[in-house]
Amino acid sequence: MKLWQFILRRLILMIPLLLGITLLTFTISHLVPGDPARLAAGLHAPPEVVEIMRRRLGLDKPLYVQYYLYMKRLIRGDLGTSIMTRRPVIEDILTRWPGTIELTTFAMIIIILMGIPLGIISSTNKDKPLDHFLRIFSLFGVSIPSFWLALLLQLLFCKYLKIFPLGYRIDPGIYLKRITGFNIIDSIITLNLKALLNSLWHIFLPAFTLALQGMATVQRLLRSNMLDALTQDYIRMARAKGLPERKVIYRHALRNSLIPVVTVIGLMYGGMLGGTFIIESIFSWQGLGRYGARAILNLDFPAIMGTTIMYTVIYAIANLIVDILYAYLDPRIRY
Amino acid sequence: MNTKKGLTTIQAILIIIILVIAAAGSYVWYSYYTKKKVPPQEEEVTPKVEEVTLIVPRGGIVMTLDPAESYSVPTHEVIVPVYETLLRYDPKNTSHLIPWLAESWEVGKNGMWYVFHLRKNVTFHCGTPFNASAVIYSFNRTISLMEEKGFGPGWVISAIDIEHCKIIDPYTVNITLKYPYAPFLYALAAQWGPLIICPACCKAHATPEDPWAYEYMKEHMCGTGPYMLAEWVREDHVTLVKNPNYWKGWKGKHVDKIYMPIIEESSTRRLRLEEGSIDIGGLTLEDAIAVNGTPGIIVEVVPSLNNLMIFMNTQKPPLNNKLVRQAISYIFDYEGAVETIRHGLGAQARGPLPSALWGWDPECPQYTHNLTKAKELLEKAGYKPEDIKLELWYIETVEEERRVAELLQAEAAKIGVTIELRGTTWAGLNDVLRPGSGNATDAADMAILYWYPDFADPDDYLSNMYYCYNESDPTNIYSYPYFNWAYYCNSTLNRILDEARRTTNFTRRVELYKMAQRIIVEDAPALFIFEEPAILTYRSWVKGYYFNPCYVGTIDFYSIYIEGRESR
Repeated sequence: MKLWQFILRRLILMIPLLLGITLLTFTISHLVPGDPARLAAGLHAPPEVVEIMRRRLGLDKPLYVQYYLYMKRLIRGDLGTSIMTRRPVIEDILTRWPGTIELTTFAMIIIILMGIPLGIISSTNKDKPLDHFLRIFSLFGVSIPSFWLALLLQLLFCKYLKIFPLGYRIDPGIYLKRITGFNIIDSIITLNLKALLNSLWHIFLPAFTLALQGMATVQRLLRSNMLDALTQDYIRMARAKGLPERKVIYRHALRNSLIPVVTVIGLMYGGMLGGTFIIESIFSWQGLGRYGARAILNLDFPAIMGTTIMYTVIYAIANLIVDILYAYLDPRIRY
Repeated sequence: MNTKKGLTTIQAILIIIILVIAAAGSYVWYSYYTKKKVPPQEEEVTPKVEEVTLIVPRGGIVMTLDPAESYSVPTHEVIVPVYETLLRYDPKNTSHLIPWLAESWEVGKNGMWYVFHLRKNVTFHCGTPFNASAVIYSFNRTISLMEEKGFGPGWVISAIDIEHCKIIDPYTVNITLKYPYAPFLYALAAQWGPLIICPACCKAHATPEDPWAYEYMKEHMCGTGPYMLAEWVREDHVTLVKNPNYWKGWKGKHVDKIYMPIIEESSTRRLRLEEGSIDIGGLTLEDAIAVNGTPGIIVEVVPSLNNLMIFMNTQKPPLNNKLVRQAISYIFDYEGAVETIRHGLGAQARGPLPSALWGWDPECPQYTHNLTKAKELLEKAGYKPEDIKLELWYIETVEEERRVAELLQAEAAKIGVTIELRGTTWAGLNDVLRPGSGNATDAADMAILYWYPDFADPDDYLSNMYYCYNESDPTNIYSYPYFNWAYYCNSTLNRILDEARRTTNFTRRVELYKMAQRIIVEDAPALFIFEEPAILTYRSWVKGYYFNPCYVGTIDFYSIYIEGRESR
């Protein structure tokens, strides 16, 4: 199968995937006990007012009718109106998703730029003090809860050392024209150096907090794979041929070791997207994670469905990219 | 030479050096190029005339800018500086009402109508004059949107008979009620419901499908208040700026701009307050205690109208027995709760009303922590302690409720009574308190409620939580207002509350409410745990900041000014 055929097939398969996800999410969210009509009308609102709200939101209809009406609107691209924000869900998502994608992507860059070199260093210094240190560091990274880490780093770097800002994507006084919604990309497009530096300054700490666990995972996995690869016959052959050590490690051992790591990174990206809620809350980062979590707590069904669909699409595309990268890394892999 | 070792060691050293240089460089850059230097004392500095901005974080998102719809505290923090009411509560005396957009008023016979004489020379932000027509329009709009769309605040003024309200002259309006409703004036001073909106702006954006211009007003603002909307970035911040034509004028010191970012975590707000990048904190109790004593930060404890109760289902055995409910009231360690949960900030509640509210009875009986008495009452009721097994529901995200529940559970266990705890969301609580069967005996045994007033009148507390509509069907959940979680029905109390709601004689109302409180405490449909004072946390350069207990979570920004703060 050619690559374009493979990509097309995967995109078409997303349709039944989305159908299944919407049905599952719709059912689960409606099974959770609660009364979103009361939350929308106001906690102190009298019951008759709550009933009016319930009818207005269509929550008085049977579940299957609600699902049918929702899917009818979805086919037209209408994700409904959020009960919390009173705005079309699509508008809410478009406002917020750049923040989450930017944060997650930056975190992913940190994971790749730091996790991979640390994995290489660790594997090529097996059982040396440096290896032991890095292994303890990775254990620390995978064990520590992200909310605790976020608060600790905020305290250390924002309050005491005053190196990074406490939160937000950019300082309020800096004007940045919104084109894509990604502050870093928009500041590059508009040649706004001040906004670019300020955005990078703001994103570093929350992205690093988000990346730490992933970095530790990648480092451990790569170390393990590299150690295995370095004992293989083809590595001995490469050394015997007189290849520089640098080429042996990077050209041969690393390339083979990266395939499972790329899989993990792809899955990790999807996982991080869903796990940004805590980081976004602590760093006051405007993103989809906080919106989705708030939607669940308030039983805002249209927002829950819209956010889930969004994440599903992004996750599916991220995995597609991972599969394409396989073909690049390993010429033996074909579809 | 072992090149393998050499390469990796160099890599490691280089990475460490780069990280250290980056960290040190950032710190140096921040220290010398972002911080402003404090000028020496002897140097005369000509004060710069610059805009004074007050930074007040909010703990939640703004859902709407329409005052007819807004019924949540984070949203109302933005609404209240922009929209005003005819009357306001006196912060020092909750029974006293201050003329505001209405200069004076008369109350008709039997309290069925009220004539308000409106303040002249008041304009909306768009320049349209405020007048009697605007009052009737605003009330009509709020009530209609409640009836059409289910927006909550309209119920506060739902006693108004809009059809029979009359404009007597441009600055005199007659508001007629559907029935005598003595709390009406207090309802008119409330922060939800009776806010006055600009009719011209609404009519200019009305459509046949949206005759009240809801779609426009949920994203735009036009009131008579001291501040106007400058910017709203959803889920990020709101900026309000001074209304230059405000009817009270701008003599004296005020702030020009209010910047309200969303900072949901109290710990983050605390860090910002400590570093001085926000002016008012809005911290939780624990964070407020932590910053108490920090130079430059003021922590003030002031009375509020908030109280915490545990309701007991009076329709469900064994709680349908008054003696059992009284026994449980003796189980709870009230003083211990104030000491350990409130860190000494607060007081045991005396009855169902908070002490800062007019009509509160200082002689109202109070239960104490007495396990012996509790056992005696259970025995008298014909129960052994180990026969009592109850479930107590609370909101799991509210730490204080969880701790109160745990305290009751622990004390009950000392005499053999079992109380199982059930944490849930607000959404989940509704299901257990209003079961689908409609039968009160299927509802939860016990539930914790933290109450804040919609308006400062004992009726808002007592009618919402202890009244019943239909005494002949006490097990039907629809015989009760939503917040009567105890499904408590007492015909004598009903008569008292009915009379107190009808009579406009203030002295008689106070007398009736005192009687009501004693009946309620005697019947013990709830444990009255504690009153929660409000805790204000702010920087010392913020002046004029005061707390009005009748206005939940909102601030009178007009009274605030800044003194002694370095420019930002």
